[in-house]
Formats: sequence, C-alpha cells, structure tokens
Amino acid sequence: MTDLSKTFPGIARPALDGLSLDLAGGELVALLGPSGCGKTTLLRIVAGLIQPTSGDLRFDGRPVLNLPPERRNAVMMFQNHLLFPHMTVAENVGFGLRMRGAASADIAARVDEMLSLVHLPDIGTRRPHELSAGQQQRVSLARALVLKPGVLLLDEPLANLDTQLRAGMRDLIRSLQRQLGLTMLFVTHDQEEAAAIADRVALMLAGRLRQVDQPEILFRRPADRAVAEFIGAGNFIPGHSEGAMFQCALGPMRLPPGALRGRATLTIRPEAICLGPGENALQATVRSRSFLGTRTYLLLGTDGPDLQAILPPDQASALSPGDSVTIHLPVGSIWVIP
Amino acid sequence: MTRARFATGSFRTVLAALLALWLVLPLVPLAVWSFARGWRFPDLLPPDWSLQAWQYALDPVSGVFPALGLSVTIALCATALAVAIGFPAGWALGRYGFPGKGIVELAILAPVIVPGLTAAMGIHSVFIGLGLTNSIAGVVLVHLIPTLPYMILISSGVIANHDPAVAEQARSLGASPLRAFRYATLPAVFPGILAGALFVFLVSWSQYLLTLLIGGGRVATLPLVLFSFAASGRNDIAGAIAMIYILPGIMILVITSRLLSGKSAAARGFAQL
Repeated sequence: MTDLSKTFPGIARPALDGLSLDLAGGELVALLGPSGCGKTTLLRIVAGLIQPTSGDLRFDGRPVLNLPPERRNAVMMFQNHLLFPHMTVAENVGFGLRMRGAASADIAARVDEMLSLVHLPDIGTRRPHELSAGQQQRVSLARALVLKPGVLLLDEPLANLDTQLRAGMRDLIRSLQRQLGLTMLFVTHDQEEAAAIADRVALMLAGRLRQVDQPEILFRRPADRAVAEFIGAGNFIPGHSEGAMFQCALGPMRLPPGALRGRATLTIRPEAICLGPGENALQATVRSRSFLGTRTYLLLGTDGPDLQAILPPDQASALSPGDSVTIHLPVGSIWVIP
Repeated sequence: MTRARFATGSFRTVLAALLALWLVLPLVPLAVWSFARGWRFPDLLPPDWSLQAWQYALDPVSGVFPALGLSVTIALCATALAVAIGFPAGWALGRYGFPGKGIVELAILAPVIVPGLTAAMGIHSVFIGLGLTNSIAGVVLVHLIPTLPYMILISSGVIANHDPAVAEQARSLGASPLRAFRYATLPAVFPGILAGALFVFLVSWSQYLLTLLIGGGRVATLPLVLFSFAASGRNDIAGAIAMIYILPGIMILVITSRLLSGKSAAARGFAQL
C-alpha cells in the first residue's frame, strides 16, 4: 500500500478543490479541519460512496475510481457505530468476511481473534444494543479491522464518545494501527486528537488542503495565517523580517533560524508567552484577566497590538488590570508567516 | 416519588381497562345473539339458547366459507399490490427530495381526505369500459384506493427514519448493493413495512361499499354476506358471522405482538393498539 493521490479541480461550489495527498503504507494521516470543510466528502470519495467530479485516485498505483465500494478494499468506519441491530456482535464482526465468502469456521476464529484485540472477548453472542457506547465503537472497529483493509477510513470515530472514553479509544486505534501495520485516514475536527494520533496531520480548510506535516511541525510552524488561526495561534503582529530579526511595533524580535524574510507577520500562541525577563522581553500592561479553571487568560496592552496570553493560574493570580509586567516571547515559540 | 409512580401506574391500568371495555363491549351483544333463539327488548338475556345460528353459518348452504375464502384472497392480493407499489413509492418520498414533492404527498393523501366513494363512482364508469366491474380483479384494484395512501405514508415514514449510512456501511464492508439491501436495510425496515401491510390487510378486509359498487354484488365477500343477514333481521346469524369476521383482526394483533414487540418502535406501537 503506497501512493494514494487525488486531485479534484472544480465543482460548482467546490466541496473539494484540487486536492492531492499521498499516504505511505502503514501510515496514519489525520485529516483535520472545521466541520463543513469537505473532510467527510474526501473520505466518502476514497471509500467509493460518491464519485469525484474530476481527479484521480489510486491504491498501490492502481486506479480505483471505477471500482464500487465493495471491491476497493477501503473500509470506512462511521461516526455512529452503525452496527447491524438484528445481528449478534459476532455476526456483525464477521459480516465482511461472510460477504467475501469465507468459510464459517474461519470466520468464527478471526472474529474471536479480533474481539480479543479490541479487549472484548466473550461478547460475541450479545446484541449491539446491550453494549455501552464505548464497546459498540470497539466492535465497529473490530468489524473493520477483521478485513485487513488496504486503507481504513475513520470518520470522527470518537466524536460520540464521552471525554473519558475518547483517549482510551484513540490510543487503542493507534496501537492496533501500529500492530497490524495498517494505513489509516482519520478524519477529525479536534486538533488535540489529530496531534495525538497521527504520523502526519493534513489540515483542510474550505475544500483545500492547506498544510500536510508532522504534528509538531504543523502546530509550531504554520504555513500561513489561515492555518495559524485554525490552530489557535492567537497573536499576529505585522512587521518586517530580516532573517534573524523581526522589526515590528513591539520592538526588534529575535527569530528562530529558517524564518521567512521580507514583509511578514509574526505569530505566537497565547500559552507560549512567558512572564518575566528573557529573550525578546518587553513591557506590557494587564488590560483584563479571566480565570478559565485550569488556566488564566490575560489581555496585555503593549506599544503595538494587544497580546493574548494564557498562563498557569498560580502565575497570574497576583496580576490585576492596570498592573505593569515584563513578559518575553521565547524564540523557539515564535514563527513568521506571510 | 414512589407514590406518584404508583398513582400514574394505577391511572394507566384504569385507562387500559376502559379502553379494552370500549373495544370489547360492542362485541358482547353480537356474541350473545349468535347463541340466542329470539331476544326481545326488555329481556336482559335471551330466554332460550341455541346453536342454530352457528350451525347455519358453518353450513355450506349459507355461503359463509366461500365468502371467507374470497375475502382472504382479495385482502391478500390487495396487500401484496399495496406493498409492491407503496414500498418503492414510500422509499422515494422518504429518502429523496424532488421538485413538487409536497404536491405529490398531498395527492397521495387525497383518497384519505376525499371520501373514497366519490373516486369510486368515477372508477366505476372507467372499470365498466375496461370490463373490470363484477370481477375479483376489479375489487382488488379498487381496494387500493383506501389502502395505498396508508402503505405509502407508513413506508415513507419508516424509510425516512432509517439511516442510509447503514447500507453504505455494508457496502464498505464488501456487500454488493443487492446484499447490502438484503442484509442491512431490509431487516431494519421490515417490522415497519410488515405493520403497514397488516394494516392494509385489515382495511381491505373491512371494505363494504367499494366491494359492493365495483363487485356489483357478484363478488360476495364476508362483509357483504354479513350485511345481507343483518339487513334481513337475522341477528343471530349475523352475530355468528361477525364472530368469524373479527377473527383476522385478533389473529393479526396476536401475530404482531409476538413477532414484532421489541424490534421497532413503529411496530411495537401497532402491536400495542
């Protein structure tokens, strides 16, 4: 399994606009974007449930656009578990194998194996409605995995789970993906989920892929303003980059190596701003403070634009509106975008 | 809390008992009549009992058995046709949006709103031209007027509540379109469709006027036979036939509650009726 690429130029109001992506075998790519950006459309095209207006789709170099979903070896797992209610858990998990005409003894063995992989042995005789939401989603995962698909397509599989279950399910998907060497395309609107699970994150906005990178790079080195805004960079200061230094209303700022030159915008995440002296230090005035439970949000007035900062509550508790503070912007946390 | 629940519980029991009485009470005089030899107004119970009416009703002379067979045949044919037409139509209405959908839905409802008899008059003259009057086929077709709207509406409701992603999931797991329908969609919508079909059967079963009009009295279904005895004042025989006549309704209630309870909300509601 290598080489999955696709391009779709033009639909009247394009849901997907000229989109290309390669997945390596055994790779987990998270397709991240706000709802309505076309992530699910892309997934459904890969699954064969809808046809693209134009473009090409290949699995292992083989064109598959003319193949119906059942012959693509791309299995889709939906947001709702979609277990068949009239079948037992074992019949559900074995459904795909049965459709392929496998022998029933063979099916039973592989179903058992899969159910233990998702930590649900001995529930084969139960009905889906007797299971908890987390169990249902794990059975749904087993039903997809048992087919050893060339690519597994997951459409927000964690969205309907409680927060406590979500991390566990996420880690289970990740570990099974590694263990079985599966290729996965994982759709989510949750940045944290995407960063935690993926080898690479593909950020999609309004039908276009804006940046495809390893999570660390995507979140620390956004390619442009739209990406930076989506990942919550928060602060944007216009100015001029001279490579190592950035001239702006805050004063000269030292830049990390490799930064863009010329007219540009400096960006930094609110939680990266530190109190106290250090590199790229400046004076600021506290304009407002709101306590958010696990962190505190500060709006800081400077000589240039106001800055948003998020600090641990213990550091921020002594500050009140009107106070003057020294802050610094660590070189490693700032980035320059066009 | 417990007291409130108890109150609600007993209130429901009382309501259910009243409802059962409301349904069963009108049948009691008929049952009594079928075993009576004459029964006049001031008497609370008939002075004399007899099995005469039952003997006559079950005797070939009365024509009850052929009428029963004919009624079953016509109701089954009407049901089969109504499902064959109503399920695909309901599928289209429940799943797809298209221009003029509201008008189509209204047109489908029309036979329920407008008295079926008005349409039947027009159909009668058309059927004369087609040679369908006085025939079983004609009666079956005219029974579609009161039944098809319900079948279509029930089907479209069932289909609209069914997530099409279930079939897509089956496709994605390797099922052909036909097998996805057979193994994923059909089992999910079957209870609702069955409930609709049983309803259609009962509506067709109880048709009198349309059968009389199109059948011209030659297609003598059970309601027609029943009515002729009731009209001629033989309340005892009419009572016996009425007992036979309500059998399918009771059987269908038993079947639905056995087969369908717990499988689908629609069917369960129907079974609890």
